[in-house]
Amino acid sequence: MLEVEDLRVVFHTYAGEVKALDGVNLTLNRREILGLVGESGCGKSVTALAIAGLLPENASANGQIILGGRNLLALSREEMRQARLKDIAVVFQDPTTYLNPVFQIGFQITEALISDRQIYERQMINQRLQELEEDQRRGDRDSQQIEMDRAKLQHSVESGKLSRGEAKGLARQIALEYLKLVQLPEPERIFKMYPFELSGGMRQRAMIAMALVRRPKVLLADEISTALDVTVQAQILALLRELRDRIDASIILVTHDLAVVSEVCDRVAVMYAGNVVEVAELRELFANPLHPYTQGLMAAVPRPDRSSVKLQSIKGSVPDLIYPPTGCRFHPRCPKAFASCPSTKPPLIAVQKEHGVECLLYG
Amino acid sequence: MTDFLVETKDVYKWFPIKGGLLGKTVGYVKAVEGVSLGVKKGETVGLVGESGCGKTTVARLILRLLDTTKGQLYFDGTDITKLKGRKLKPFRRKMQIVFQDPYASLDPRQTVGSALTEPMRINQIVRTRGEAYDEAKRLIRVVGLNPDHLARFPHEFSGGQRQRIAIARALAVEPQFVMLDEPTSSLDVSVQAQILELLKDLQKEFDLTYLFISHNLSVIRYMCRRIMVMYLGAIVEEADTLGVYERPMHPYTYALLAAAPIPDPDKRKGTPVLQGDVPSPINIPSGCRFRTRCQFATSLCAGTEPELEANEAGHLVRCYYRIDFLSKTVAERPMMRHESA
Repeated sequence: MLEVEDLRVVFHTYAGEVKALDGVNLTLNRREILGLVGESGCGKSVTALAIAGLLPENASANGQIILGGRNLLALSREEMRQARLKDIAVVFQDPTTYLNPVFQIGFQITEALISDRQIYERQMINQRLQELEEDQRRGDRDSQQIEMDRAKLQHSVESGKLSRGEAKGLARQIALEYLKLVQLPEPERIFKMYPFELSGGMRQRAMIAMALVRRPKVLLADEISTALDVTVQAQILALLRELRDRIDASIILVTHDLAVVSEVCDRVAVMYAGNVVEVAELRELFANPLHPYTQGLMAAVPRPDRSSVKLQSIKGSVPDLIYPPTGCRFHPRCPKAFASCPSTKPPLIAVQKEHGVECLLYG
Repeated sequence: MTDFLVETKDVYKWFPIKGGLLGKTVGYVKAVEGVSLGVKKGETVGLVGESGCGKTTVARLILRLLDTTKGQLYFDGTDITKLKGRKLKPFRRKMQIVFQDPYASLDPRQTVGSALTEPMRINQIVRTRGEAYDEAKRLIRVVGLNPDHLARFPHEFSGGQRQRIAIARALAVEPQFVMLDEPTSSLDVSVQAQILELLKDLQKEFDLTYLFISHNLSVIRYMCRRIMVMYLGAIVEEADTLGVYERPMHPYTYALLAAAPIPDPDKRKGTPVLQGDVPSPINIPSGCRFRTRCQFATSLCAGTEPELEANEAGHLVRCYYRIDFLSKTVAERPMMRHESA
C-alpha cells in the first residue's frame, strides 16, 4: 500500500541541524494497522507528518515515500494537496485543536466533499456502503426503497448534472453514513452540533469520520487515544479494529504506549532517535523482542494485570539529535553495546521473515 | 482512627456557577461529594479515576489549596479544615505536592538552586545561605542529578530531569506527606520507570507518606498498597491492591479494569464494557451516580444512593449488588434492567 524508503528528515534550526529521521524504512499493507511506537523525540510523529506532506517549512526530507506508484516527496505543493484530499488522512491527538469551533460538525465533514469535483465517484462508493450496511441490518423489507434510491443516484451520475443543492444533500447523506460508521449516537443531531457540545471521545470520533469520508488509502492516526480516558480509549481502539475489518482501512497508528499497540496493531515498528530499530508482526515482537531498546522498553512498562516488584528502566536519556551518537544511535544507553557499536551504523537485518532488527548483535 | 497521617471526613466541594446579569449562582459543579479517606504513616494510597472525577480537587482540598464546602480535614490528628495564615504554615511545610507537568510547575526564570533553597529559607529550615546550598547539593544528588545542575535553568533539562527537580523541591522542606498528582503522566515509559523507582526509594529513605493520584491503572498497581476508585466526585470502591485488581466488586471498577490495555497481544480486549461518557458533575444522576452507565442497574439504584460499605474482608464498595466479577456471580442477584421495567 505504502512504502517508505530511506526517509531522512532534517530540521534547520538556529541551534543547528536536527537530524530527526535517519533512514527510515517502512511498509504498510492493505487492511493493516501498523504501530509506530517509541518515546517522545524518536521521530514517530515526524514520520507521519512527512508522509502527509505536513512538515514545517524549516524541514527538508529526502528518500522515497511511495503511495499508488508515486513518490510523494517529489510532488509539487498543489499535487500534494490533492493527494491529501484523496489518499491520505490524518487524525491528531487533540481533536479540540483540529476542529473549527465556529462551524457545525456536519459542515466540517461535508465541506471537503462539496469542494470535491469528483463527488460522483464518492457517490458510487457511498452507494455500495449503503447497500452493504442496509443489507446487513434490515434484510429484505426495505430493499425496494434502496433500489429506488440507487436508481435515482445512478440517474444523476449518468446525466452528469448535480445542482448545488443536490450535491449538498448527497454530501449530507454521506456524512451521516460516516457518523454512523464511527458509532456516534443520533448522527442527525450530531451533524448540527458544534464541537464544544461534544465530549472528547465524540470529537475524536467526528475527526475520524471527517478523515474517512473521502475514503483515503492511508489513515495516519497520531496518538489519537492519548488524551482520552481509558474507557473511552478502549472504545476508540475497538473502532479502529472495526474500521480495518469493515472498510479495509490501512492505518498507521503512532503511539508511545505499548499497551495500545498490543491492543490494535497487526505489525509494529519500534523507533528510536530517528531509526526504525525493529519491525515485526505483533505477536512475534512481544514474544521475541530482539533489539536491546525494545527489550528495555518492554521491561519498563508496568502492567495492570500483574504485580511487579521492580521496573527496569533504560539508563540515561534520549540523545540530542543535533549531535546524534555515531554508529548505532542507541549505543550510549545500550547494556549490550560492544566495540563496533559506536563506529558502525547497523543495517536492517532480517532475522526471520517479517522480523527485522537494526542491531549489530544479530549481524 | 488517629493512626491516619492524613484524613478527610465527609468532604464536599461544590464550585458555584455564576450566571445572568447580576452574577447570581445558577448552579454548582459538584466536584467532590462526601469523600472520606485516610492515609496511614508510611503508606502509599492510590486514588484512581477518569478525568473530571474529582481526584485532583481532593488533592487540592487536602493541601488546603482550596477551601472545603463541607467536611473536615485532619493532619496527624489536628483539624486543619479552617486553619489560616500563620497557624497553617507549619502544616504547609509538612505536606508537599509534585504536579503532573514539570514544564509548568517550575519557574522558568529561577535557577534550580534557587528553587530548592527558597522554600528552605522561607520555612527556616536552614540558617544561612551556605547551609541552604549544601542542603540543596545533597538533595540534588538524592534525586539522581548532580550539583552542577543547581546553577542551571529549567529549560536546560528534559522532562524526567525536571520531574526530579520538582521532587527535590518538594523534599526540601522535609515533608511527612507528599501528594503525587499524576507525577509520571507526561513522561515517557522508560523515564516513568526511573521516576517511579526513585519515588519508592525516597519513601524508604525519608519515611514518606504518599497519596498517589493517577488515571493509569498500571502505575497505581505498581505503586500502591491500598486503592480508592473515584467516580463523579465520590469514592465507589476501596480495598487493598489485590482486592481491587483481582476481585473488583463495583461495576465501574470492573469496567475500568476491563478497559485498561495490557501490553500483551494475547490479552486483547473484546468489545468495551463501558459505553458512553461520564455525566456532567452539575447534574449528578439521582440514586447511584453510576447507574446511568451501569449494565446491572435496577429500579433500586435510582432511589437512594448506596453507602460505601465494607464486607468481612474490609473491602469497601458503594453498590447495592456486590458483584463478584471474578466468578461472575451476583451476591444478591440483581434484577436485570428489562425485568424491572
